[in-house]
Amino acid sequence: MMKIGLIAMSGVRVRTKELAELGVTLPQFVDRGRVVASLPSLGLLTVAALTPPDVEVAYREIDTMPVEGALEPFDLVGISSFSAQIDEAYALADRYRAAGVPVVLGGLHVSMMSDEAAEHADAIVLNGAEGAWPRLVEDFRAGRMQRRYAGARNGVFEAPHYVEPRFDLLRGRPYNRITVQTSRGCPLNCEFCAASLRITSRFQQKSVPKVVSEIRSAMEVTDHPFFEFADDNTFLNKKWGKELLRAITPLGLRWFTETDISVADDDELLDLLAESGCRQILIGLESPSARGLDGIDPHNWKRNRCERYLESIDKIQSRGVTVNGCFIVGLDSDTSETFAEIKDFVQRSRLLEVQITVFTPFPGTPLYERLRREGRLLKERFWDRCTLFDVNYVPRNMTVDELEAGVRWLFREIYNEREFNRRKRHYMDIVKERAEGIARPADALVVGA
Amino acid sequence: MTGSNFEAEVRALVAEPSGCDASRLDADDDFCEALGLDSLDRLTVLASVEQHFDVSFADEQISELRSVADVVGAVEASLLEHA
Repeated sequence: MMKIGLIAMSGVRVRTKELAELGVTLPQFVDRGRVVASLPSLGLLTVAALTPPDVEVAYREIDTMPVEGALEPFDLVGISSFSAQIDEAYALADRYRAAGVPVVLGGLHVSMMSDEAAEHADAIVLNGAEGAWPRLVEDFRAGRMQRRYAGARNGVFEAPHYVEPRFDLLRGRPYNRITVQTSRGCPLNCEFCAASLRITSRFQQKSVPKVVSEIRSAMEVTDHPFFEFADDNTFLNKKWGKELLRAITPLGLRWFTETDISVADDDELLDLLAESGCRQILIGLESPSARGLDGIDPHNWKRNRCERYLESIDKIQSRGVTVNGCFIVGLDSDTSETFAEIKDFVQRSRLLEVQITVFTPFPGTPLYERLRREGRLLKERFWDRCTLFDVNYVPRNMTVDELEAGVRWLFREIYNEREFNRRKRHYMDIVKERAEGIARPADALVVGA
Repeated sequence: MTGSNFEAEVRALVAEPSGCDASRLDADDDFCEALGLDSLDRLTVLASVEQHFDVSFADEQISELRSVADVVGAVEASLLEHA
């Protein structure tokens, strides 16, 4: 029987030495790094499901592959990777090809840098695997595999393209977080975004019954799973969102997703979030100031919302749903004062989790093209540094050293034990208030705490 | 209240988020790991304990309270401190 090996590239590796050394000492940073590194590759589980049933599929993580010597034998290998791990993916692909095993490369980076990826593969898959992988496998069997395959950019959640991912391949493995995708794309189209909107023509939503079926399948293969919705923006369509939340509430889940701050506008949605077991939503706040948000998305949607950030965060968290507020440092409007502004906002808002990332020009993004035109990229090729924590360009209002030092300072101020404990205490206070049925007025935010 | 009463009540509060029977939980086990709870469940349990016994744990203590024995000890210490 033909055997295909699907190899996932996992883990986040900060390249800047001082930041890497600092990161391992900060508890909340270590926590989140551990979680991200432990997520299975939903893309490859989907590829596995698109593979004909008479072909054996093996799912592997890069950490389990031998660094030298004989590789596990397959008839065909498929590797999917983000930019930060792409050089490792290429190295593994080269090893397999040198051993006579054909390799297919796919994933977001390959879609953005197809010519480069093609040098390390017998075939590449652009966009997603839906609409491409089944043809590729049949062509391979017939000895006529092509060099490039283009996946469908639309209709991926409907017949004939939709398949339920092969969660059964995770059985017996130590994943306690499982990803399920409910949508692709996001109309906000922020300049820096390197997510699924780059491989889809428009926002696409999976039906609620399909999402529930996938969740049920995943629940069968692992004890006490925690779910992450692998979406750019789960609650863009709030009517659909409420239908989803009502459907998953009986399943007794604990789950996480990413969405935008407008969820705070809908009280019913917030109540349903809490009742359905949502533990956290990540929201790309990006900057605490209108100046910082100006121009970040084509319609200035985020800038127009930022005056209500504090009120919105408090409203969401008062339901017991934690907000992971994600900030970007090094935006073109940022100055050396920005780091203290973010720290101040984090403390005033009492965000229960915080993610600080560095402005990163991922290949294929409008940001990358703009910085390249402006001559501000430090190097033409820096994919291993696309970690969201390494600096790859010349900032507008500070030096590279100043940005790196500012990031380290902010990490120490945000992720230390004292701040971690403050956040835990705030969550416990919310739990007690909810138990006592205390309604917190919107103007009860602690200022300057 | 006696120490054994504390333990029974703490076990009941620990069991609440999971709906599991915490009576067979070893007092020194990490109750989150044993019952499949996450970090927010742990904080919910500790908040419930604080509310139930009308005590308040020091913020720096929160990370250390991982077993029934840890929590019972912390409750006793807090009650003694304010007796």
